[in-house]
Amino acid sequence: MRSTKDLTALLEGALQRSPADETELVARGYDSALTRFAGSTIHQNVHEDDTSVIVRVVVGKRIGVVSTNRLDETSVDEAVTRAIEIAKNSPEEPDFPGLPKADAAPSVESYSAQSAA
Amino acid sequence: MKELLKETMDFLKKKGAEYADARHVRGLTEVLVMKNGTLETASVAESEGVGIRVLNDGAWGFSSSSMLTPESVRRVAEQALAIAKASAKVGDSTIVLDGQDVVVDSYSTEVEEDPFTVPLDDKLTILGSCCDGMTKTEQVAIATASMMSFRTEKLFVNTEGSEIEQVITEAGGGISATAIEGDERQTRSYPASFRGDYATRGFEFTRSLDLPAHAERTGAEAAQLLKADECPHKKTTIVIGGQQLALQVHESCGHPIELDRVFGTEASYAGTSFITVDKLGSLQYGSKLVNIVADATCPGGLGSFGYDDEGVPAQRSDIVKNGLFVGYLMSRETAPRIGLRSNGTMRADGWNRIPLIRMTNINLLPGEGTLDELIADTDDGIFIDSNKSWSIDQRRLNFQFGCEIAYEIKNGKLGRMLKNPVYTGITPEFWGSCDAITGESEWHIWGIPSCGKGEPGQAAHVGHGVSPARFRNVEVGVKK
Repeated sequence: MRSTKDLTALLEGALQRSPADETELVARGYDSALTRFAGSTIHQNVHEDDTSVIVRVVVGKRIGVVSTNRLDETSVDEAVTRAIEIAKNSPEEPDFPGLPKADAAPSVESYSAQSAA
Repeated sequence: MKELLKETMDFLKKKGAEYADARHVRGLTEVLVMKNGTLETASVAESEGVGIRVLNDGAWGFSSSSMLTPESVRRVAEQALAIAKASAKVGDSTIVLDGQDVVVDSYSTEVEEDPFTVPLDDKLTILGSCCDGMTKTEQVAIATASMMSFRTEKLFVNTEGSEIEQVITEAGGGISATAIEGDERQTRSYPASFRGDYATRGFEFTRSLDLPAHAERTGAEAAQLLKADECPHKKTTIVIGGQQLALQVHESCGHPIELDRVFGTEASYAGTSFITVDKLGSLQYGSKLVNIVADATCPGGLGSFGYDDEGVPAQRSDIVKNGLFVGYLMSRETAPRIGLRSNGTMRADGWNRIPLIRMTNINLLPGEGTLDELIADTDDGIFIDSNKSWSIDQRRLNFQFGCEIAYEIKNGKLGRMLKNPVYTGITPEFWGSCDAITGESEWHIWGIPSCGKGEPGQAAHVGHGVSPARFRNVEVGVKK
């Protein structure tokens, strides 16, 4: 998966360039494997890793959301543009309080060596 | 990317892989849903990555990643090989692939209007008109209009030297009106339930559905259903309309003919099949009028493509011929187990999914005459259409379907509307009772974009060409 440093740089650049009233970019990465058996034989043994960005923009009280896993500057900027177009065509959400303010998110370590063994 | 993947195939050959293939896939999906005039869903999702499959020591390994650097693609290849080696240590791994020609080719869906260049405003205007039309009927409480568009760009290479590039574009939509009065609620859809009809075409297909023109009628029918009589319980003749018949073919034919399912690989999830291999060439699946083919070459069929995800050309295969079961949906791995070659039905729903045997377009071939002529030829029965619910056992033998609407047929004429029509049957008995299939003028390929299979789950886009048909002595209604 991509490094946190590279992702942060990519997202911060897109945030700077976004013309929306508010913009949120969430990068999610995963690394997943699955083994499938049938008739006492492994017939599908698969792995995937992916990182994608979910773009949420606010225009007034209208919200648009787009996702992409093409993590280059141009593609993320295009996703922002699409999200803005969706927002402009979406109904207002009069009770929407705005995007969450900056706050320190705790780092979570969920790996347990004992249960992984 | 092509050169990188070809180098990766050479790398895997040098590492001793018996076979390997790689798919670079870039997919774009847009979903728009408007409910009672308000945009409820407007989602755009883009995904790109590479998936590599390796056959080593008679076992498969698969790995995939959205990181497309040369280092990452090499890592994915090494991982796929390591997974294959691990798989080979368990059980009796003896996978042997059939022989296929090396292919260097490209394929693109025929598109007149790229759905992704149609302004969002235009699409929302269409959806808004639909909601307006449906809600002209007072009892319509929920009016839903939706459109979906897809584009998939694929590059396939394998260690045998094949190189295939494909661009598949798909589009479509649908509307539904739910009328409510007291405790009663009824839904009517157009052109089909569960989000509508889809094709491997551009936005010209969505426009051709002319959704707004059908909106008022759809709303009115939903309200009429509130007052309609309940479908009686009896054994009778039924004439099934195209949309419902498409799902009948899907559930009772399309799934049990997936050869991997026959061999038990979906037993823990999607189920098995009553059409075991001893029945190939001997099972009387239906009456002599029933001819079913798997055809990935149909222009515009939602299950159409140039090459499957093993590089096997799209083709047409007989599945049921004059009622006799004669063919499965097969892969390069499963076909040799019954002495045959793949008929090109391996499909993955993304770069990060291993290909599985999936339906392409599973079509009931047309017969003769029009629907009006068939109704006129029917003394007593029910015309039934538009699926509302389905239930079928895990072997695909015993089924029950609920539909949105039915009409009584008396002395060759459509009579009173009936609500909550359901029918049930056992697959070969049901198809054995088919005594009439309407002709080409009534034939349409319905597109179903949501066929589920596999773990991790995959959704295939499949088609079913059908024309309305008649079945005798079918149990309808609910016994009270």
